[in-house]
Amino acid sequence: MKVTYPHMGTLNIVLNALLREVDLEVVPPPPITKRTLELGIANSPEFACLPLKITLGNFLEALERGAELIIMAGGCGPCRFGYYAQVQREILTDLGCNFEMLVLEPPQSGWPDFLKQIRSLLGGLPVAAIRRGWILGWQKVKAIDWVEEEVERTRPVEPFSGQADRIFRDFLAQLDQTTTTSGIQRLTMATLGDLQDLRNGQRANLQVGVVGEIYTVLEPAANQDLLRRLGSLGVEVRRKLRLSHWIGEHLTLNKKKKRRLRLELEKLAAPYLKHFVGGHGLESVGHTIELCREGVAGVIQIAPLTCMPEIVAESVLPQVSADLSLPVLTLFVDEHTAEAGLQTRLEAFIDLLPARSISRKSI
Amino acid sequence: MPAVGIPRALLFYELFPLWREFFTSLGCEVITSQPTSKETLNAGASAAVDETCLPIKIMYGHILELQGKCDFIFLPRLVSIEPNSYICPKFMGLPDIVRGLGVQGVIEPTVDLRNPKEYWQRLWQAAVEIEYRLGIYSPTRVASALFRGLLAERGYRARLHQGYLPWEALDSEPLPKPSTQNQVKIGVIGHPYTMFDQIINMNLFELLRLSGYGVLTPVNHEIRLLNRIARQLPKDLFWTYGRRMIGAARLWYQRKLVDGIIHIVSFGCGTDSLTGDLIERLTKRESDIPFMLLTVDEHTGEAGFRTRVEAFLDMIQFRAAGAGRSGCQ
Ligand code: SF4
Ligand code: SF4
Repeated sequence: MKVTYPHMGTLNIVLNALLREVDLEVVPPPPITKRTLELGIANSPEFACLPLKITLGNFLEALERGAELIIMAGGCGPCRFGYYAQVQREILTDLGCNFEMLVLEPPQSGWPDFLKQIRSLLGGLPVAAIRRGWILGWQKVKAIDWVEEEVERTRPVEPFSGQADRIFRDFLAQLDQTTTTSGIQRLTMATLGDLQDLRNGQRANLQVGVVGEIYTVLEPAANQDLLRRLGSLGVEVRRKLRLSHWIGEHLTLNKKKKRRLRLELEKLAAPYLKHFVGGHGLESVGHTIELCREGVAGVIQIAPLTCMPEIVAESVLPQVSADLSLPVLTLFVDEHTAEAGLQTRLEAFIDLLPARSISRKSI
Repeated sequence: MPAVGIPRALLFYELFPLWREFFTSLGCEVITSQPTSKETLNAGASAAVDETCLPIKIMYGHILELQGKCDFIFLPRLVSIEPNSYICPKFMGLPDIVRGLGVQGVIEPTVDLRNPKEYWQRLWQAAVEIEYRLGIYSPTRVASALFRGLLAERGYRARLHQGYLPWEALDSEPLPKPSTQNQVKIGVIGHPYTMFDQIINMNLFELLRLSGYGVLTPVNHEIRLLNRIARQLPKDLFWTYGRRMIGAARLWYQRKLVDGIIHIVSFGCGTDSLTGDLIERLTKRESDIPFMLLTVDEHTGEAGFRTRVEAFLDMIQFRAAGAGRSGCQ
């Protein structure tokens, strides 16, 4: 059975590693293009949030290429993501598509169910292979996050624009083909070396934090290439939301560590938001404060239009902004967001930012 | 005797009887804001962030109206009001988002009844939190106020199940309601604060009744029944009102209780963007009952709204007449 999955930034590399290791034939959805968006938008509910539309476009294009089984994550609320798969299944059914869908509900809602799902997918429980795939996938996540952070430092100071991104693209392509731990390590070190050569010890003198809904932070097709845009405006992007964050949060088994991180976040956000609100609403508030302490000059919050958790965060961020005298820009994106408008707003925001002293510890 | 203000917004038409009884049993005076008007909406819309949904903007308006008129304003953090579900992420941050208004004396207990095992414990905690805020420290008074509140809610639900609409059922002895036998019936679904707010619904219920239609809404049915029907879906929906809406729509079309379904949605509502689509799909797939989605925002004009509703009703009349004829022949 040929399986496929939705795109979210560089998630595909991780999933490829995992799925190949357990001997599944993978038909990755083609990279997100204008057509993906158009397909997704035409067939989705008008007011659904953008990630649902784009991932639906992924599924349609993957099915065209012969995929038969869609793997999608589930969830138990409170925000819409947990019901995406259900709605998408009905849409695809009404469109007359021939497919099966496997929705991986988070293991928190019951281990037996989770294992049953895995078993039905693989026709057994090849523990050793899953373990191998898991380890390989996790190492790739770490490698990507590590390199990407360096890319974000390099972009604003690279001698010629696009150099860092070229290195990053090559790295991702090679990483996808790597199947050994040592290979991943070698590749990562080499790439980091290249980037550091390019950066030559410099740091941009303007740092801006990025917070918001995770899909729009991670997926360039959803955020109009926000991170790269900021880089080419000479801004170093600082963020806490990375792929490893999302995976760790959904799948990690280390409950204690998770609880500790959670408590820290809740404590930070408490003066403004005293309860989790689903999605990454609480993170948006907590991370804004954390990033401010780390010395960023401003924070950009990005989210899909109508995103409920981020609207709650947006409603309390003015307070945070006033108390910390930290400029905050909120960007809501949907399929109508125009590139030019976004660029203008970014430039205007950055022009306003005072240059702040940067903590140099992390160089 | 402290005065407690309860905004006529959000879950007012669901839980006001409980809250009113609870606070009066504790010796408080209960004040409510006026029914939503254009002014409420305008005041709210300028205080809220642009991107938020209509009911939240209206809620801001009601809070602003109550500000200064009472000693306390009751605005609980409603995480969950029944097991295994949420209402909406926005309800989970309610007291936080209004903090920017600088309102004093907000009573903001957290109500989180998600876990069925901790149901009573959590409810009790919320009640105690309120009492502390009011400066009362007596477990027996808490218990009796809570008990009386819950009893009042039961009475209210019973009246709703007889077919009354919320504002009629708030009265403990409502006027006898017009007979609805042999009438063409319209089912209306939506979040209670959307479909029962007269600014959002543009007096839809009056329009329907005056034109001689019977009206059904999800509140007219036992919650347990609706939830049971909604659970037939492959995955249980985790939003309280989405679940009830889906349950009601399926109940109506499976048992042919209504001749048409109207779904009122606020522009910008996150949960309805998915549940609404699902309900429409299922209704069209599994029945031939006409379905209409009405999206309302602050700029919707009453004339356009009425025209759409009337066109829908004409279509239903036409169908009903057609069906009658073919039956006679
Ligand atoms: S976090 Fe926002 S964008 Fe993501 S599913 Fe929830 S509501 Fe939609
Ligand atoms: S359920 Fe919809 S209308 Fe209600 S608060 Fe949430 S987004 Fe707004």
